[in-house]
Amino acid sequence: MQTHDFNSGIDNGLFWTKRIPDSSVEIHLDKNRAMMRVQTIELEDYHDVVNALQDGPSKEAVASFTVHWSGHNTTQHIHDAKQQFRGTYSLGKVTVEWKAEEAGLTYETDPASTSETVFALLGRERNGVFF
Amino acid sequence: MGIKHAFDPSTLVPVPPDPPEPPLLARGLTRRQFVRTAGVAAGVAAGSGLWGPFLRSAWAKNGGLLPRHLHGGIRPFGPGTQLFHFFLPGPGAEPASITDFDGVVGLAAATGSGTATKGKGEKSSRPFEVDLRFMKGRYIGRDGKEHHGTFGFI
Repeated sequence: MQTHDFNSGIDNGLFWTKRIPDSSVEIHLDKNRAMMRVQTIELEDYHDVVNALQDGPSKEAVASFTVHWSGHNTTQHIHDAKQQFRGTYSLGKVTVEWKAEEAGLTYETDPASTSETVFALLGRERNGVFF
Repeated sequence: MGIKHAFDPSTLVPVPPDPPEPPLLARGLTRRQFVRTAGVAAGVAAGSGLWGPFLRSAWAKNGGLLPRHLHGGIRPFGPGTQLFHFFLPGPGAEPASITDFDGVVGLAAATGSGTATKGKGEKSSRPFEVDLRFMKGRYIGRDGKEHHGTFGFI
């Protein structure tokens, strides 16, 4: 049973998307690798995703994440005129570790090496007016 | 940070883009922010000729640099319900959550486990599921201008 759902909310349709410092993402596309490290970003804990999508009650929280992309050797080209986007992505693996804190609760993941990839991609994309 | 597990997959059918919305001034501000911004601007600058610069400044501070959402998305609660402007992770699905974007995107859907610690130090093992993404590059902001920036889907 889900008991916490941390996300950055919806801002006029912009879904769970928040500006982060440029320095928090390092990209090495030539090596098919990237890293995102976000420190103490303000989020909301909505308890579960259904409550989150309904913008129900939430608690203030802060979280930090480190994600590494690597081993991206399978390339996928997409040209989707209907959705107006195109891109070249490589599929591979990620490792993730994160922690979150809110009043009365902290959560910290096990070491990144123990996380399991469900789906991961890394690549270049153009959409909208840049399509 | 994850959504896929919470819904019947048959309801998560991608929805094609809506027609482009007109570039209204109020886009990017919540109703409350817009009322507050407009109200303050009127109180300070009415009759002084400063309305335009003041409002433009407030607009930029409140979201003019933010990107626009995708025009398509999913309806997790079924046909005819609210459209959420993103796509679930998977082959062929658009990973970016912003439109008018040209740059690098990374998507990480992963699972794992961790430890939750409650107030008096009670610890328990809890699984997690995340969908974390970044978008780094140029984009057209809500102000209609081109910008460079980095965004996290968190």
